[in-house]
Amino acid sequence: MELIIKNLSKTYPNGVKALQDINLAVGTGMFGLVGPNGAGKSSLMRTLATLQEADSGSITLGDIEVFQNKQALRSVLGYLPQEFGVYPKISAEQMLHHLASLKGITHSGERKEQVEALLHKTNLWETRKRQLGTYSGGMKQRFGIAQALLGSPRLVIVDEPTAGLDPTERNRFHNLLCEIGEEVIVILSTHIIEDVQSLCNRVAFIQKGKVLEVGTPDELVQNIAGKVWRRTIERNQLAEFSHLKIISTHLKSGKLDVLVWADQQPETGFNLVNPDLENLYFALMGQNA
Amino acid sequence: MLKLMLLRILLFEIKYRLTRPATWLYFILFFLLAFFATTSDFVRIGGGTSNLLKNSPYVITLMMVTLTSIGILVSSAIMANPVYRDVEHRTEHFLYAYPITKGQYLFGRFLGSWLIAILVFGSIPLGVFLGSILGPALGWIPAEQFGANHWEYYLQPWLAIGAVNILVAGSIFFSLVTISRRIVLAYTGNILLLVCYLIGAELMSELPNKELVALLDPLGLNLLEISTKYWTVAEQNTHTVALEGLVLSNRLIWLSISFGLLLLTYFKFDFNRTGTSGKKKAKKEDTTAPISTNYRPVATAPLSNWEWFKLMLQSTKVYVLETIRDVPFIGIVFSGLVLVVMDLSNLGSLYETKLLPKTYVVVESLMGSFGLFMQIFIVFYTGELVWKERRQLISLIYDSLPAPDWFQPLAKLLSMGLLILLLQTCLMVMGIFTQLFHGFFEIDLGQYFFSFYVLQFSGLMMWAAIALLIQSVVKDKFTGFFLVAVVYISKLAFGLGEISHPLYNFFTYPGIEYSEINGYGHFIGDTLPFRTYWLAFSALMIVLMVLFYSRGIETGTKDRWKKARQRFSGGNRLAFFLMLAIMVGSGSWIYYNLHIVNDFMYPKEMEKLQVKVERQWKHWEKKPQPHYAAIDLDVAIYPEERRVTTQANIWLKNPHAQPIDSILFILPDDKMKMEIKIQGGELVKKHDEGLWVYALKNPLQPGDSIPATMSSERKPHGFTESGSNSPIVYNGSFFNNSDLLPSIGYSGNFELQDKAKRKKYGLPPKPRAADVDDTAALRINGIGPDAAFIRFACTVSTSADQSAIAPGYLEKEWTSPGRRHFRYVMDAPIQNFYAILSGRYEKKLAQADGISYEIWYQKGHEYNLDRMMKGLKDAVQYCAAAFSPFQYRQMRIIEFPRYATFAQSFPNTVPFSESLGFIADISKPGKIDYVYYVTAHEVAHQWWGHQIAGASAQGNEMLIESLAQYSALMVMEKQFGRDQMQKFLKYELDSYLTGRKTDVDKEQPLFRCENQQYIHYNKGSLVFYALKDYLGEKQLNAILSEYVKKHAFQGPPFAGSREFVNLFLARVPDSSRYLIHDLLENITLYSLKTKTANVTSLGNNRYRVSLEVEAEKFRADSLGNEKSMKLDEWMDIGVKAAEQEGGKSKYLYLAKHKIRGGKQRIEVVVEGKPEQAGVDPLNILIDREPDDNLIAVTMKK
Repeated sequence: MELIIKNLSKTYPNGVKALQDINLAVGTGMFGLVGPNGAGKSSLMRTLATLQEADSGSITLGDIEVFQNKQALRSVLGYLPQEFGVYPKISAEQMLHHLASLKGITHSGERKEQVEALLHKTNLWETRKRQLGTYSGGMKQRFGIAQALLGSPRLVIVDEPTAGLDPTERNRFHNLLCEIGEEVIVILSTHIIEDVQSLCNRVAFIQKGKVLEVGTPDELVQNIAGKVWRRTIERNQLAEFSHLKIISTHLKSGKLDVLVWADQQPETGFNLVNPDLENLYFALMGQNA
Repeated sequence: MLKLMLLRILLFEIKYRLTRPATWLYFILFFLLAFFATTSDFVRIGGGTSNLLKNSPYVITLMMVTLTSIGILVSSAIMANPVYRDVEHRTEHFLYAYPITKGQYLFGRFLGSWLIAILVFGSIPLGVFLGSILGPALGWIPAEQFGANHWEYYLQPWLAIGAVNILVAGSIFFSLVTISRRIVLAYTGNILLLVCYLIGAELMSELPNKELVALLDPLGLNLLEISTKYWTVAEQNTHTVALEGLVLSNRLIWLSISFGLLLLTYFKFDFNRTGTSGKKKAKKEDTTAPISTNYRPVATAPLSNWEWFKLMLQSTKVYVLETIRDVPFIGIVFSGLVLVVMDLSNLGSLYETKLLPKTYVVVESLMGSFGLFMQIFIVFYTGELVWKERRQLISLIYDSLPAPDWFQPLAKLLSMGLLILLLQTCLMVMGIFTQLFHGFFEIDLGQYFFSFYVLQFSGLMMWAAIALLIQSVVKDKFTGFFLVAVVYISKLAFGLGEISHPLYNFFTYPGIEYSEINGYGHFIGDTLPFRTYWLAFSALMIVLMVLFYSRGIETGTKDRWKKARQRFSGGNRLAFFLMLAIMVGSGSWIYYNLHIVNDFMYPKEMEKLQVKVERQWKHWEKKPQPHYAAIDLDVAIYPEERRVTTQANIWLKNPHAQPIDSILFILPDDKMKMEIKIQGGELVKKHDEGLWVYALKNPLQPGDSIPATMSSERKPHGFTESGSNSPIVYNGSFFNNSDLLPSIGYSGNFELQDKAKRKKYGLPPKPRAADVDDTAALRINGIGPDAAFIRFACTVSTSADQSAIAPGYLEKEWTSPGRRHFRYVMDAPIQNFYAILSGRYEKKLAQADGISYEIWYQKGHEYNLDRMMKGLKDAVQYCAAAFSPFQYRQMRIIEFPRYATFAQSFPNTVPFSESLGFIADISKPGKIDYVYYVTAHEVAHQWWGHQIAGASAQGNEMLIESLAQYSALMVMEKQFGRDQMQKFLKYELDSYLTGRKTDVDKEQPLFRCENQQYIHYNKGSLVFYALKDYLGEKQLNAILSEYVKKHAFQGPPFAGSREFVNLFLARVPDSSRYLIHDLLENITLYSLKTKTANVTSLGNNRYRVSLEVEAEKFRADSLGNEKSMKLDEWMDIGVKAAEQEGGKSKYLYLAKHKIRGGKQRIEVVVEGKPEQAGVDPLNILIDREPDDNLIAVTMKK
C-alpha cells in the first residue's frame, strides 16, 4: 500500500500558492512533514483528508483514486485536525461510539471493544463519562487521537498532534503511533524536529507549498555531512561573517554559536560538526526564505 | 487617563464596526425601506393616507418605531456582539490581561455599539429626508404630499424614540449575552421584547388597560398608538410626540431598566474568567476496567444507503434532543405559548363577546398567534443547525468521516421537520385543553391533524427549506440570517409592491377556509397546484442544499461549484430533474390558468384598465338608461358542479323624460356565458371587459317598457391566483342579483378612487359621493342605478339534498329526478337587490302577529337561535310600531358559510354568516349581546333600505345605516337597559374617534357622509342616541315615522338627507335646533371634564355633591382643525351610587343642567351615598376624553 501524490497544486483565491507541484510517494510507516507555519502542511493534509479541493494533480492510495472516490478514502482514513472542537454536552464515550458508527463499525460488540481499548490507550478511561466540554486541552487532544484511530484506518493523518501534551502523554502517543505505523501509513506534521528524527521513517521538508527535500532522516543527514561548520564568536562580531551562509545562531553563555554552510572550512576557527536534521531544516529554510 | 481609555475603547469599537460590511448592510437596508416608503407606493411602513404628509413628524415617528421594532434583530446583532466577539474569537485571553478595567471595557464596547446602532437607524430619517427632496424632484410623488422639512421632525423621533429603543433593546441583549457568554440568548431577548409588545397589543383591545400597556411597552409601538390615538390629520402633520405624560413615563421606566441591566452586567461580568464552560460538577469517575485494553483495528464495511439512513435518524435524534434542551428554544416556545394562552382566552372577541371554542376557531387562533414565533424559530434554528458543527469546530472530523454527502444536510432538514412537528403538536394539545377547559367537547381531531400536520406543516417546511439552503451556502450565520430576512422582506415587498405573482412571490397560494357548513369545500383543490409548485420548489432547494452543502474547507466559490458538480449524479440528479419537472409542470398549469384561461392582472395593469374603461365609457354616465321593472327568474343551481344557470324574463322600463335608443350592459363576469334578447334590440358592441351595447330599433319612450330575456351560466373557469371563481359552493351557496344578471348603464364603481393615482393618469378628482343637493344624483338609487322598485318572482332548483331560498313567499315546491324546485313570489315591489341561497339546512319556525319567522341554519349551530328569533320579533315589532307597518308577512334568517363575515338584509331575507353570531358565546351576562344587536340591525333595514330607498348622494348611508343602528339601539335598550347602551356607545365613540384619524379623505358631517363607516355606523349611533336623549324617543320616532311614510317606496327621485334634515328643523322646537346643526350638519366635539367632586354629608342619608366642571365645545373642519365655540347648553349631571348587584349602576341623580364654556361649580343634593359624579356621565356627547366625565367623589368632613 502506497500513497502517491502527483503534481498536486493549489492556489487560494487571494493568490497564495498553498501547494506547488507536490510529488510524494509515501509507504507504510511514519512520514513526517516539517516546515514553518504557513508552509502548506495543513493544506496538504486537508487535501489528503478529502476536505479541500486541489486545482490539479492526483492522489492515489493503493488502488483508490482519491479525487474520484473520496468516500473510499474516507472509510480508511483517520484524521486529527490541528484544531478541533467537541460537542460540549456529550461524554467522550458516547461521542466515540457515535463517530465509530459513522465510520462504519456496525457491530456493536466490536464497536464497544474498540472504543474501550482506545479510551484505555489514550488514558481517558477514568474520565470517559465526563462531558467533553469539561475536558482539559491535553485530554481533548487525546480524545482527538482516539477518534482518529477508530475503525481500521490505513491512512492516518495527524496535524501537530502533540502540541499541548505533557512529556508523558507525548511519549505515550508516540508509542501508539509507532505501533499502528507498522501496518499503515501515518502522516504527521510537526514543528518538533527531534520527534521526526526519532519517529519517522521518512521526512519531507516543505516550504511555500513546495517539497524541498524528502528522504529518511539518516539519508538526509548523510547528505549534508561535511557541510556544516561551527564557531563561537562574540555577539558584536556577527557582522564580520555576513558574507558566509549562516544557517543559524544560538546564544550560549553570552556568546554566539554560529553555524555556517560550506563545502569546506570557510574560515579559521570553524569546526566541522556532526549534522542533524535541525541543521538541515535551518539550512533549507534559510535558502528558500 | 482612565476616561481616555474608555474613549479609546469606544472609538476602537466604532472604527471596527465602520469597517464591517454588516454595519453598512443594515444601514442601506433601513435607508432603502425609509426612502421607498417615502417616494413610492411599493413600500409601506405603518399607516399613510392621502392627507397625511409623507414627511410629517407622525409618519417619521411611526416609521422609526416600526422599523426599530422590526429591526430588533439588527439591534441584537449589533448590541449583543461586542463582548461576545472576544469570547467567540478567543481574543479574550490576551485582551483581558491588558491594563484596562472592567468598566472601561464593558461600557466602552457598549457605548460604541450603541452609537453605531444609532447611526444605522439614522438611515431612516435620512431616507425620509432625501425622499422628501428627491421624490417631488424626480416627479415620483406630487410635491403637495410633502410638508416643510423641520430638523426637529427628524431629530426628535430619531433620538428620543429610536435611540432610546435601541438602548432598551440593546441593553437587554448586551446583558444577556455578556453575562451568559452565549450569543443564542440574544434571540431569547428578541422574543421577550416581542412578547411584551404582543401582550400589550392584546391587552390594549380592552379599553381599561390602555395606560398600563403604554407604560409597559418597551419599543413604543403600542405607546405611540395610544398616545396619538385621537390625533387629527392636522395634528399628525405638525406635531412631534412630546416627551411628557405617558411617553415620558414610559421612556423613564425603560431607561432605568436599561441602566439597571447595565449595572447588573457590570457586577456579574467576570473579567477574569475566560471561555464559556460552565461550572458543572464532574461525574464521579468510573473505575471499572475496559473489556479490552488492546487496540486493534476493526474492519469497517462500506454501508448501504439504508444503513446510512438509519444512522442519519440517529444523528437527527441528537440534533432534536440538543435543540429541545436548549434554553433559548424553551424560551421561544414558552413565550409563544404564553401568547397563545392569552389569545385563546379571548377568542374572536367582538364587543367583548367571545366565540365558542369551535375547533376551527381555536386552530386559527393558534396558528395566528404562534405563527410569528414559528417563523422566528425557523430563521434562527435553521442557522443553529446548519452551523452547529462548524461553530463547534467539529466539522473537520465529521467531514472526513465516510458519510455520504446527503447525510448531514438531510439530517438537518429532518431535524427541522421533527422540531416543527413537535411544536405543532404542542399547539394542538393546548388547543384541545382550551376546548376542554371551556367545557366544550365538540373536538374535531381530524381537522386538527389536517390543519397542523398537513396544511400548516407543508407551508412551514417551505420556509425551512429555503432558510436551510441559504444557511448552507453563505459564509457565516449572520449573513444567512440577513438573507433569510431579505427573503421575508421580498415576499412582503412583492405583496405590498403590487408586483406580486404566485409564480415568483415566495410561497403564495390561495388560503383555505374551513366552514362547518361547507367543510374544506373546493379550497383544497384550489390550493393544490400552487402548493405542488412551491413544494417542488422547496424540494429543489433541498437538492441544491445537498449539492452545495459545505464539507471540509472551501477556499472559494470555484471549489463549491466543483464539489456541486461532483455531487450532481445519481439520486441528486434524479431528484433535481424530477423536482424541476414537477415545478415546471405545475408552474405551466398555473400559468395557463392564470394567463390564458383567465386574465391575470398586476394592480398596475388593473389600474390602467380601469382608466381605459373610464375614459372610453364615462360619457355613458349621462345617457338615460332603462330600469329593471320586473324580473321573473328561473335559477338552476348544481352545487356539486359549482354551476348555476339562469333564465330571466324581464321588463325594462324607461323612467326618464327622454327616449332611450341604446343600452349598456355590464356583465357580472366577463368570462361567463350570457345571452340577452331584447325585443327590437340588437347587440352592436361587445367588449372584452364584459361591456355590451344594445341598440333599440324603436327608441324606448318615457314611461314605456319592453320585455327582454336573459340567460346566463356561471361555473369555475380554470382558476386564478386566489382560487376558482364561482358563486356556487358545495353546500351553503349565497349569491345575489349582481352574480347572475348584468347591471345596466355605466357604473362609477369601477373607477379608480385614489386621488393621487387619478392625478397621475390625468383624470379629474372623483368625489366619493355626489353632493347632497345634486338633483341628478337624487334620481339615482343608492343601492344600484339600474332599478327603482321591481316586481319579483323566482323559481329556483337545486340538488335533491339541498333547499334553495330566494326573497318572496314560497308558492310551490316540487321535485324532479335528483332535483328540488321552489317557486317564490313577492306580492309587493322590492328593491332590485335579492339573494339566493342553497344548502342543507335545518329550520326553526315561529309565528307572531300574523308574521312568520324562520331561521334556516346548519345542524349543530343551535346555540343562539333563541336570541336571534327574539331579535327578529322584537325588531319587527319595534320598527312597525315606531315607524311604519312591516311590508312583508315573513322574516327569515339564513346561515351561510363564513367566507364572508357579515349579515346582509335583503327583502324579507337576511343571510347571516356562520361566524357572526351563530357561534358567539353569549352565555356570560353583562356582555354586549351582538347576536341580538346584529339581528335587530338587519331587520331594521327592512325599513331603512327596503322601504326607504336612499339616493346615490351624500348622506345616503345616514338614512340607511345610521337609522338601522338607532333602531337596533332602541330594541337593545328595551331588552338590556341603559348600562349596556353606555357600554356599547363607548365602543362606538372609540371607533368614531379612531376612524376620523385614519380617514383617507376628509371627514364629513353626518348628513353628508360619503360611505365612511366610522361616521354612518359609529357616529350615527352616537348622534341618534343623543337626539333621542334630548328630544325624547317619542318625538324622535314621530319625526322618523313621518319621514318614512312620506318617502317609502319612492323613487326616482329617491330619499335624500337634505329633506331629512329639513324635516327635523321644521319639527323640533327652536330651542333644540342647535342640536340638528351640531349633530347632523356639522362636526361638533366637546371637551368635558369633571375636575373635583366633593361630597359633604347632610345627615339623614342626604349628601351635598359639589362638582367643579370644565367644558369646551369645538367645531372641526374637514381636516380636523378645531375652532372653539360658544357653549351654553343643557347637559346631564349625574351622581352615581355604588354598583348594584349584577353590575347594575344606580343613579342617585341624573338631570340636565345648563353648562357654560370654561370652569363652573354645580351643586346637587342627593339621597343615598354617592360614589361617582360628573358631567355627561352617560357619554351622550362626543368627547375626546370620555373617561374624565365621571370621577370618584371625595368625602369632606
